Amino acid sequence: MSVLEAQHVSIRFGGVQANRDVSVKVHEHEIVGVIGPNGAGKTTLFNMITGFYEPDAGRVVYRGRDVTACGVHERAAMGLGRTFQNVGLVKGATVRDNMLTAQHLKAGYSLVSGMLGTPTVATIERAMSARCDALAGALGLGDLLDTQVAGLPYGTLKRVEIATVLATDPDVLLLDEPSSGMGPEEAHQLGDTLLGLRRDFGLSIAMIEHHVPLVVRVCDYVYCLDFGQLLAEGLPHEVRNHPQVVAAYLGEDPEVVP
Amino acid sequence: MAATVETHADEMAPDDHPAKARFRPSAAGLVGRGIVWAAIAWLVLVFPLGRPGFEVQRFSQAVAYAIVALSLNVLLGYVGQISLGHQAFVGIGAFASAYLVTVQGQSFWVGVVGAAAIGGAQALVLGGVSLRIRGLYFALVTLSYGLVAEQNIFQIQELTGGGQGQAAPKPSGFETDWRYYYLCLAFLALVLWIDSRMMKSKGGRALLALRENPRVAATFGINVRLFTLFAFVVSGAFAGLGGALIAHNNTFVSPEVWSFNLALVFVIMTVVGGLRSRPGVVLGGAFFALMPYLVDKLGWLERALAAIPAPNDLTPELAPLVLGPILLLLTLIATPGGIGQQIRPLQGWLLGGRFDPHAQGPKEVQITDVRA
Amino acid sequence: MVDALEDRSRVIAIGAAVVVLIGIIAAAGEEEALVIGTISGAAYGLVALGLVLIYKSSGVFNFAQGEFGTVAVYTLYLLHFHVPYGVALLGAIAVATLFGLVVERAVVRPLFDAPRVILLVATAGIALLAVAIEIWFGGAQGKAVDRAFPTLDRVTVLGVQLSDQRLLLIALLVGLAALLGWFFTRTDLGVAILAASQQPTATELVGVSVRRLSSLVWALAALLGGIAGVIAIPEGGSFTPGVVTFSFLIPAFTAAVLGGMTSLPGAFLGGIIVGVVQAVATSSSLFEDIPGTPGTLMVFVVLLAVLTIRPQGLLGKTA
Repeated sequence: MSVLEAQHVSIRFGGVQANRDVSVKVHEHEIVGVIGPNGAGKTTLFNMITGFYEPDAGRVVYRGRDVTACGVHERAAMGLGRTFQNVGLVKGATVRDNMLTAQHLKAGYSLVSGMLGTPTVATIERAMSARCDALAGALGLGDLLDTQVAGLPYGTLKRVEIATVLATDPDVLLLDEPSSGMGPEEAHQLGDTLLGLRRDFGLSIAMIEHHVPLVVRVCDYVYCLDFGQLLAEGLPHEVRNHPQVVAAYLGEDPEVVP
Repeated sequence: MAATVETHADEMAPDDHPAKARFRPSAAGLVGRGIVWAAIAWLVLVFPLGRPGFEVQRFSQAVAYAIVALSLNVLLGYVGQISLGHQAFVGIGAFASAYLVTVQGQSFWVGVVGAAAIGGAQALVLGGVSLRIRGLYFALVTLSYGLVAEQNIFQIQELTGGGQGQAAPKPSGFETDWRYYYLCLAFLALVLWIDSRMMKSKGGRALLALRENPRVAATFGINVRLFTLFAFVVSGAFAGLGGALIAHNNTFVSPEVWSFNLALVFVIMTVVGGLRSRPGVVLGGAFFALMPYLVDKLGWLERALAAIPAPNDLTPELAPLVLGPILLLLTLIATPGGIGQQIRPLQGWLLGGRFDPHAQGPKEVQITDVRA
Repeated sequence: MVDALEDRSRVIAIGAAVVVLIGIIAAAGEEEALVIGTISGAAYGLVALGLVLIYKSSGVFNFAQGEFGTVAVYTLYLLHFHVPYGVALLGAIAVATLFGLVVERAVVRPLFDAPRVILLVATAGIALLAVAIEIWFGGAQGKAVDRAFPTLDRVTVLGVQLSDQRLLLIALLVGLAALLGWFFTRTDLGVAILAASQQPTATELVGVSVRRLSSLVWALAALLGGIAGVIAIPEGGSFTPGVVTFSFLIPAFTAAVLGGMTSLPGAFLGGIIVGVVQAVATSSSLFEDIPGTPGTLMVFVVLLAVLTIRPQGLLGKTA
């Protein structure tokens, strides 16, 4: 059973067809890769899946339920978590604050109670803070919890972002270029982390990636997009060697590529 | 979700961070801080007792303005939406309380709670209709609404005595100016408490997130529109409360006061006070309320202003309208954090930390803050 | 293809608005409102032209636009005791233009890259300062200035007298709207201004000074505001500090929004419609029961309606 699906989604902006008839499936506990050259429409696809855009055609289905009309926050409540290309964090707050904000839906008290500061609120807040400690510790960020996000190095920010999205307690994680800005060794470690997260948190993951070794190592299935359309799909090494995929990245005639 | 959390720290290179030692002030430092706190307490609690009644009334007004500034801070500071019609919320609170007490024969306490409730309800309606509208246009809507309040709502016969004004007597037990002043201070403390509690809970965090990065806030499960409305309602409730306090302070409410000028003064005092700084906006509100009083009291200032060559004198009443915009422009251009930014080193020191002249609050105001 | 759809929806919207409006007027039996509304609407439209001009070129909502007019009419008042009326008129407009340049230099320039809402607040602050200075220097009581042309009843339309001044106002609105429209589409300078607002870096790279263009735009807007002030205000009898802001700014903004904040002919059309709606609301017995000034409420309703139903206005581009 697939846990998340985009079914034949299409969207156009003005004169540009950003996605045309794209179908992507993520099965339970799978790690799916979405690759393709820049401008292929990968982030647009993620935006439609998470609810930032509404597709002109097609559906988004989550656990068998059509969520195409649901808002971003509603899908987040259902268990869809997501990271962004340019690091989706509240820069003017501390790491802890970000992770606490991410637990928004887990804060089991009413807004009014929050304004009055009842003992229940204090208890729940303490529990949330403890969860921040645990998650941050798991990602090696324990020392940084009370540091401002703005000013942290890029690589650290990416880890903070992962810790924060984990705080939302997702079932499915959509990662937009998690390895960007990382060297080969860091990317390798990221791969270990992702595998570990899948194991420990029971996650299903879909990730947009450019780092081919990472994709091949970690993904169970890969989709390749180009010019808004699905070019190829299959097992990682199949897709990697697919002549059209190679051509799309190199920009050459498929016949010419060896 | 697995129950255990395994550490992945060894898989990712942890950064080097030296542990931060907790700063503790010395004995002399504690004494110093104590003296300053005592001075502040004296200024707020004791000094007014020695002044004549009408002056104490001005202080009460200053406290009410501080509450209004806090209300605007929720909207402008926490959420980044601008209200150019805030005088409508304050005014409706004033009239509501006056109406409830004078016409409906309710007690002051019902009046005040009613004013807050009506202020919040008004925000709910206006916000519900117009929060779909983007920042700049929303400002226009609030501006237009402010005029509607002044020219239509405040002309309703039963509510406002048909433009003649409505009486609003002081509550029993607090008839003297001094007692009323302490009552206002108590309400200010209440508003400060609620505001600080809110900002430390999920509601406040949601607001700050949606101000800075609404897309990310949405992925945290925050319903951006709902929470913007929530902030608006809280803002409206605080404003209504402020209005009620103003009404009973003057024992009379009339429609002419609630003009576009006042809307701007409210915005100016909040921005100059310092967005997202509670002590800052309190000081900003109080300062603007007391400006005529200060000009009056400081004889040299009054003479200096009057000496400026002009066909008429720069009266104490006019001074805020001239000085306000100048301070606003200086704040926007030079020190966006306003008074709050300036007192942050002092604030940190008073709360037991080091005196750090370069202290930056975690939510320091930048010129890119308010959303368009 | 997309543009054709947009044009068609635009024509439908305008058509619907005009039909509804005329229908209301006919039903209410308030034909004079049509004329009175057009006159006041012309003043709103003139102020709205300045608002749209600045918005088109820099995305700023200029809350000080009204004060360009008030400053102009106060200057006219001061000068006309000492010099011939025509000279006083020119002097007043010149002073308003200068005011605009000063505002641009002292406030808009330093905040060039700030969010537009900050600039909105800043211009609102300037408006307040201007009003305060008017009270300070001019006193709070009303002043009066004669019209430019004394003839009061050049033409009578639907029972309403149209003075030369009123005709002049309408003529100016039409003329200036057309002139500005031509300017922005046909002249290099106009196109440059639009380019600068959308792509400032690219514009600088081709050798056009964005800063200088900004000064020009604000001077132009202040000029328009000044003209609005000196032509429209004397028609209304006496005036007090802040007159153009308090009486004209909100309807003018509503007119600009209704017409489409990026459309100059829209400002013209929006002004007329807002003027007529307000006139009908004020005089019709349908609105008798509304406490206070019904016109104010109706202008607010129009604003809300436009922003919820068709935010880009009648002639604006979809965002």
